[in-house]
Amino acid sequence: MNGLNAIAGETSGVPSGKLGIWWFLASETMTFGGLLGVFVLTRYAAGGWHDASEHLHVWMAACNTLILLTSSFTMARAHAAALRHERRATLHNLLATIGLGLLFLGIKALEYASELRAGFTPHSGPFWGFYYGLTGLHAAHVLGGLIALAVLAVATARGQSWDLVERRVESTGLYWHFVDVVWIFLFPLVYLS
Amino acid sequence: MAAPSHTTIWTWLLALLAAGVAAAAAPFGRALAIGLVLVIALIKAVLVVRHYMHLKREPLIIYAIAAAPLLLVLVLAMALVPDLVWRR
Repeated sequence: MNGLNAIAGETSGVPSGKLGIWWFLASETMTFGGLLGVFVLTRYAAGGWHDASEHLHVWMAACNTLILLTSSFTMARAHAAALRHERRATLHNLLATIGLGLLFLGIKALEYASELRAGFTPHSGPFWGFYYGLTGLHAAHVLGGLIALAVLAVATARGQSWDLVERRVESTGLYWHFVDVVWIFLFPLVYLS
Repeated sequence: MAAPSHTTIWTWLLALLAAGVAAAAAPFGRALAIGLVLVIALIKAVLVVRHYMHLKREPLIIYAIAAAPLLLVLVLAMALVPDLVWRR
């Protein structure tokens, strides 16, 4: 393992952990980019599906956008605090990020419940299939990020060494910001178009 | 020039969110509104990637890793246009 680390460090000048997370995000970009590309083209070819998209709760989604943007802010603050070796500030910002992520999922669940009650299921038409598929996959990524953040928060609270905390906060933060960026495009493409 | 603080970037992100929602509701033509909303989304994404993901401080290899899938997605989308858009 040390040999692999040395190779990645020597050949690229970038720590292997950071290189690894960027490669992972590149593969995630292909996943979401491919799906969004097909969604945009199919929607354009079908004339826009404006009748279906008018049933979405734009204000709930706008609130969720605000929440995710703010969670990126607290995540960036957690990283800055970790670099300064301020354990309390790191932990508080990680917990704030977790709280905001949970709030995002709670609002998303309310949104789904409201749409399902109104009779809009994934089988209600191509728009709804894309809507549940895209936002569901994104929500699963938020959940994955929350689990990683919870593990990180526990490790930070238990006094893990700063060397490890710094790197783990950076890697988890890169993933969390990526999930935010995906939503930044999902919101206008699904709700506002 | 000093880098903008996390709070400054966050303020810009919230302002751009408000601008995007307002643009979508504005009495423009639909095409113009959608174009405006997507440009605003792109600016938000660039702010997050450059400042919160620190891309502006990263070496060229990280830029390459980040850009490669975007090019591939573009190629994929272009390859799908005949099947999904022109086949009407």
